[in-house]
Amino acid sequence: MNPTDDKDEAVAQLLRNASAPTELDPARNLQLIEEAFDSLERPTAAELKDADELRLALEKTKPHPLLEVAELLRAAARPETFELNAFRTRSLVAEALTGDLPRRPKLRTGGFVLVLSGLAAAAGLALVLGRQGSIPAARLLAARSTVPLLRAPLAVEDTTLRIDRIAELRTSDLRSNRYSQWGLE
Amino acid sequence: MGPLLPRNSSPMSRLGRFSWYERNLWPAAAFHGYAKSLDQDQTHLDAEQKLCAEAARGDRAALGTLLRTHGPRLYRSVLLPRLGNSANAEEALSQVYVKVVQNFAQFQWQNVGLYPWLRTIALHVALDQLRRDKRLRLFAPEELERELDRDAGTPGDELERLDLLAARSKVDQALEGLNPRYARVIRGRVLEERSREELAAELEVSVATFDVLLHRALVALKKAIQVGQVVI
Repeated sequence: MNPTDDKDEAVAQLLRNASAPTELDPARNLQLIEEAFDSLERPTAAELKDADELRLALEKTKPHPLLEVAELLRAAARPETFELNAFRTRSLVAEALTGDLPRRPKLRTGGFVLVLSGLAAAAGLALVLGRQGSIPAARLLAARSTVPLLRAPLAVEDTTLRIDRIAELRTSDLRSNRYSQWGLE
Repeated sequence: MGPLLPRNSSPMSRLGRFSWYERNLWPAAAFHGYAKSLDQDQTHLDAEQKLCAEAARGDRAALGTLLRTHGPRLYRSVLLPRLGNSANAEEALSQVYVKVVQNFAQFQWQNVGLYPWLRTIALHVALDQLRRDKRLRLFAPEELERELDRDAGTPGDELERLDLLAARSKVDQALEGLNPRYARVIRGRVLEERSREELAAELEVSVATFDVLLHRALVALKKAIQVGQVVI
């Protein structure tokens, strides 16, 4: 075969590969993968040192930046391995209980009610007012018009998106109000 | 709500597991009522409701008992999996306790018990911490917001099961995004805590090579988490 034939064949191969590429032989694919992993046999000195430090960290004898990742996974997948011990639980509870506890005020009944038994309606009103006075009124988000949320026109097929958007915002408001009522602002 | 102690423990051994504080500072009747009812959901709820009423009247011992009962559950199911390490989870639990003590007068009893209310507070505290600290984490704040929307009427045991399941799914999702060989070494060494020698033999590599493989796997996982590939 002369050099001109070689060039023709190379061009023909290029065209065949581009127009109808053949499948990679699965065995060759596995071989390439194994070769990639075989490169592990030749880690750099720095990598070997890092790997050894990580080993020590996992054996809890040394800090390492990657320990954070391992702990993150373990905390999510096997939280029972980090069980809070009873002593620590008692200590945290004791810290929180230090100081005076807010109390739910007792309602005035007994003699007062007996004397004013004819005024049951007024007593009921006092009960309601008493409860309202005991817990500071939370600042709640008021119901809002949906108009500002939907200024941009939505196509008919986007009505689900419209409903989703309103529901999402209303849910957020509801959550905020619930927290406010619990005093968790 | 299920039993707080193993079902096969005898009544006496169950009583023995309460602290001196619970046995001595709790009103005796309340303690015995609570202890006897551990295997009976409704009775247990009734006992918890009674404790809640006492706590709302300012009874420190009752509130302490409720916190000690539910705190470890919150730590294990909600805080630790979402905050990623024990130091952050303990800090959050401490904040949850303070919020509960300060706001307990506003708790209104519901038939599912106290746990769902405590869980909501715990998720709220965890959410604040995630928004404040921009560190490595599996859960995004938006995911905790969605978890907060879970029906507040769901019983505590079911909430706990779903919270643990969500955390495990997060881990599975994170590992599925990696090279399968990397995922295998992380599962084996970090999650299952198997020996390096055993895993190296299984992978047909030397122990030193296994260490390098694990190092590379954790570097790859850290990168994947940082670039936000792990999002539900």
